[in-house]
Amino acid sequence: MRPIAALFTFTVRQMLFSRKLWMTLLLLAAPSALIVTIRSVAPPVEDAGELWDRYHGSVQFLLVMVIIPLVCMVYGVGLIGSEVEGHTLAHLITRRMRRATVLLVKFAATALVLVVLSELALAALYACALAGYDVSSLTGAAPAHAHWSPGRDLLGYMATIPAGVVGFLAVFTLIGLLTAQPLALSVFYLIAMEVVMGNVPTGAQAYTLLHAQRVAMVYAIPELSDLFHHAEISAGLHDRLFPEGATGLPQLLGVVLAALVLSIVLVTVRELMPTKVARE
Amino acid sequence: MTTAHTVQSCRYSRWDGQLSRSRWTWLMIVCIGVRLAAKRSRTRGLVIAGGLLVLGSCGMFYALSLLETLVGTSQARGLYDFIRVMLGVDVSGVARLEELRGLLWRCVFLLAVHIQMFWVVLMVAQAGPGVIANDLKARALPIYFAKPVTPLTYLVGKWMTVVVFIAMVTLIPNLASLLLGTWMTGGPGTWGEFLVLAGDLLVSGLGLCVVAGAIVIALSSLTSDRRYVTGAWLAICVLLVAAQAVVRDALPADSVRGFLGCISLKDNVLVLTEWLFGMREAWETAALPSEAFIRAPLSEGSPGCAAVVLAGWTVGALLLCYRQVVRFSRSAANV
Amino acid sequence: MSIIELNALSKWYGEVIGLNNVTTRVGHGITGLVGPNGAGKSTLMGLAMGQLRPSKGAITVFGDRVWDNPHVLTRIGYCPEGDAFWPNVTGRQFVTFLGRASGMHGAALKTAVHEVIESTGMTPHADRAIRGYSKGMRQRIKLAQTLVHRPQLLILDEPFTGADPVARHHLADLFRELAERGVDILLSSHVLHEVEALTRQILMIDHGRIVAEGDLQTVRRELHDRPHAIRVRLDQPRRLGRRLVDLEEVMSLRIAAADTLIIETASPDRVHHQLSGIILEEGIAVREIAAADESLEAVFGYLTNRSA
Repeated sequence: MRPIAALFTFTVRQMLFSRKLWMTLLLLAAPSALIVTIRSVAPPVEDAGELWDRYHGSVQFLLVMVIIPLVCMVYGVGLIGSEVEGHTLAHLITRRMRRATVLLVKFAATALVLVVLSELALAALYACALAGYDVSSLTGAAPAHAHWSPGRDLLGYMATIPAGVVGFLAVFTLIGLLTAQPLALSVFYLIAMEVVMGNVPTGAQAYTLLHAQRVAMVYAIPELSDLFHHAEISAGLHDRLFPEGATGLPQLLGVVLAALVLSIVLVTVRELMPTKVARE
Repeated sequence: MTTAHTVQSCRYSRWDGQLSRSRWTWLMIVCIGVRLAAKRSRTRGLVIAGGLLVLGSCGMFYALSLLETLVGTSQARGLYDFIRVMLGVDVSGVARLEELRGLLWRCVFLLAVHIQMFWVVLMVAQAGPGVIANDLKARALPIYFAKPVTPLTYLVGKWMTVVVFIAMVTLIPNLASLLLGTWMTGGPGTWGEFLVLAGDLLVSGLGLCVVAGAIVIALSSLTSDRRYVTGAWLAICVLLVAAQAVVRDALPADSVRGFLGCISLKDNVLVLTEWLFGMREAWETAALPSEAFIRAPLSEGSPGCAAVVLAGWTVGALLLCYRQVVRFSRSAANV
Repeated sequence: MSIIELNALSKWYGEVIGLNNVTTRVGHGITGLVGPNGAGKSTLMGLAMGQLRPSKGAITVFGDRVWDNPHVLTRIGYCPEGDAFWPNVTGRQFVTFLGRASGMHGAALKTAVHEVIESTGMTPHADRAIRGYSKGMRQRIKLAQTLVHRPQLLILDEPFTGADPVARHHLADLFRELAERGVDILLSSHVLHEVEALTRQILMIDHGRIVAEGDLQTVRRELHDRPHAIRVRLDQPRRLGRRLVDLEEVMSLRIAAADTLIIETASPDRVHHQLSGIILEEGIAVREIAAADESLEAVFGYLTNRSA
């Protein structure tokens, strides 16, 4: 256990003391900065519905849809890749740990740090969007908003965002191990599969990690269903995409397990050497 | 040492001239950078795929010229629908389509620019992040600055390397489309219109290349790991678009006409391109009814604010990159 | 008993052959792995460390497979050739973490870290960031992490790279001391005279094949197509030469300098036996009799030229 604990704390320390952390913090703080800018320019909100839209719109369309997947991509693709490129993987796999253990420990440490940072970003966004507003005194545009409890929504997000972080991190870790140049595949996956396919109102949405995360969020915050109900999407399709009582957790867990199992197989079987031998 | 092995016997002669700082060293850096990046099959694939847009544009020009001859006939219905879907405007009520030729050609190029924005993101993500980051990683900077290469030369060389690749998927296909389309269908109108359109394409294409190139080399100069540069570049592209959407949704329309409507780089480029093409005046002259428009013909935003924001990004990026390169040139150990 | 066993081991990278059907054993003590660039030394070491998988054949260390086998790997200390450091760590943090990753903890770890840092001469620099180290310091801190968990076998890829002459001498003493304490060492180097100063057991590799293995002198004697050269330094080389030319075992004589005679022979022992008698008979004053080409460098040159 001690080598595992040593690698875990070392990985956390490396993440917290790296320059990459600044970029991560900047990205995670961007929604809060944007909300502050909007609040400083826009007139004070009197309608609960407008405040609800502003808060949940920022969380969904900035933090959940763009920033968290992007941050997970940067860390996930380099989880083992950065060790290979830096030639430090040799130090780790020649110690008292199996290759699979090295992968899982680094994954766990990275996931923990990213989950904590995401929760902090969420809390900051909540504070920036809702500080100074007494929601109960605002009028609601719809019955749902009249009984809106922002604190409960925050808890709902805090419970579901970690699943998304772990899911995306697992997928990008797998992509990082699949190919020697994983960035192109990661970018393609992120933009084409998640951002584009995850937002086009078709049944294909159901196959994306973003959608699984949304299902989990709708389960925790039922009113969120309104946010994803586009004009172009039929009621039947909407009900199929967000079935009653679905938590999204089976899909998320399934993706995480599949990605991690495949990653373990790859890291155990492949050599993971940094250089190719020059052909004479 | 025997005579056979002396330096003179190997026909080595000492350089007697002066080592001067050549004005064209940056071009050599560009050539090397382009050659290295072009070795990657993905880069070549993106260039070829970007070039395929020429076929699409020429197809559109052909459809427009065909429509001009079939105006008012039943055979034109399919073409009207095609134009409606692609360009977002219904021209079935227009009797003399040739009067709108210049405007419609500009619409085709605007559509091409829309598509090319996506290609630019991919191309820059492929060819851009390593331009300086790889030199940092390989510790090649002491070798560069041991030669008569100034920081400015290095910066311009690296910048132009990225500009070349962006031009291959934007400026060059657009100019090729214009030439090919003119050869096939007679062009957008008079020779004057052709030259004006060519000039507009050149300026808008170069502008996009310069802005995108400056941003990516600034990011590349900050780290030796191109992964982070790619992540940062994608963050800037995607996040700003998402942020703009949130701002437009959250704020009243009047508040978003100024700088708050210029958050997204993509929207700024489109606004400026439309301004350069004179789209607003052209649509007003065409005097089409509002029902003819399937989607808004013009982007929201102020060209002046868009220009200031893009200029700010470019100048800021170049200053940051220059500061980094000067630091590298002074440090023997580099990063 | 052999420490490392290679059985018909081959490793190729696409079209390039790294190791070609190698069967050999590395025994106790210090073994020098020598060969030109691209010979397969790092490939062999990578296979021994479980970083590479054999394309064909097998390799065992301490009688067990090495790939993904922590039980064997904790008994081995590996010093890679190039830079292999995490950013933003000091030397001490680097060694301590790898000691912990090897299963050490508490006071034993602290003591071990202190000892290895001191033995590699890195005590004044241990608390500085590694990115500020010179090449020699980086090499020494890498060696420190190799030793921290008290391995039974050290696999050292070019351990003298970047070290100044004083540091090299210090490292060589350290390796000798470790060998005396029972640690087995397999080290590769281009600095042939230093490998020779450390050990007579060599494993010579070229183009992916073992071209020589065993005691250096024995290897030399096996090179029948290369006559042995005996260097005699004396005042009257021509006088001695006139007597030696009659000997059947002498293949050629060369006066290399005014006071140096080189004798080439396929039977050095017999020539040595007769040489002393002749010198006494003639009453010639001799300053030195030595083998001119039994050095590792000479053998290396003969073998690599032959296999080229």
